Amino acid sequence: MKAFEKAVWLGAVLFLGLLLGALIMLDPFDPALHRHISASIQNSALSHPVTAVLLDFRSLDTLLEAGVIVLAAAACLVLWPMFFYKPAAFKASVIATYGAFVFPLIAVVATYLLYSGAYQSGGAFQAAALFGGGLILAHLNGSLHLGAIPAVFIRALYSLGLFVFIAVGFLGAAEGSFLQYPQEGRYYLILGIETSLALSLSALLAAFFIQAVERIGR
Amino acid sequence: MSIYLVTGAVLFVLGLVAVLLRDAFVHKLIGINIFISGVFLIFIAGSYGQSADSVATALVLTGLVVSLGASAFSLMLYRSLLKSR
Repeated sequence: MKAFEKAVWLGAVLFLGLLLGALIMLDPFDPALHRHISASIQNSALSHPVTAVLLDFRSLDTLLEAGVIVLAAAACLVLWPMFFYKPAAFKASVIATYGAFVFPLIAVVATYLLYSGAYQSGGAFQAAALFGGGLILAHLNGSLHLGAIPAVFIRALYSLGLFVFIAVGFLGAAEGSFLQYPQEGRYYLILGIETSLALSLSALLAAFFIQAVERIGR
Repeated sequence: MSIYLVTGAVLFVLGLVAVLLRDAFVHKLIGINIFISGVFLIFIAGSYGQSADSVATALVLTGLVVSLGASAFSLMLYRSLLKSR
């Protein structure tokens, strides 16, 4: 072991002790914001506090987050290097079972997660992570022929969530501030945002992986 | 102090060590991801009172997705660097 390595490990142990000491001396957490949100949750169309924070009280943060994801995907598309990738060969029974049984199951569970976000833990991001995983598996075993989808359609799907979010934001801007949802139909607007956000986020999350491993080159 | 806070602190330090000691870029990137997991774990465990704090949960949910995008982008950057050499 070199001297530098020893020094780093020693420093790490000391730092860990310092960190644990700091965590012990931490004041007990005061959930003031949580109380505030629980008190004003009846003003929201949603009954689960986390989803209400994400899509109602602080929806601008979620909008910017979706923007960051679209931006990262666009940057990945720019960098998309040529790279030969040969899909792994699976038995036909595996591919058929995945396409006919497992993928629909994933889609159903993701839809449940998406719509249960209104009253329990769940929502667009969790559903998108699950469905994106399903899309990655479907692409890897080639059961759904995702490569045959036209690129224009996929790029439109990438930006769909952000587009709907901004459109709804300007809809509310007519009578108040940006992203202030109109009083009637508030629940359905949020549901529409969540659905389009989940669709495009799952496509984007799958694209992060698929772009990193694949290119058409020879 | 809960086991989650201790685990978060240990992950934080281990990720830091990996970033300092490993030479390969991918190892450093994995170290950064372990480091970030520690931060998220401390954030959630530290804000857990009677129930999960909604604002902290929403922040960590946002951070998870953004960190995924950042690591995907940095992997792509590294691959194009390797390609250009």
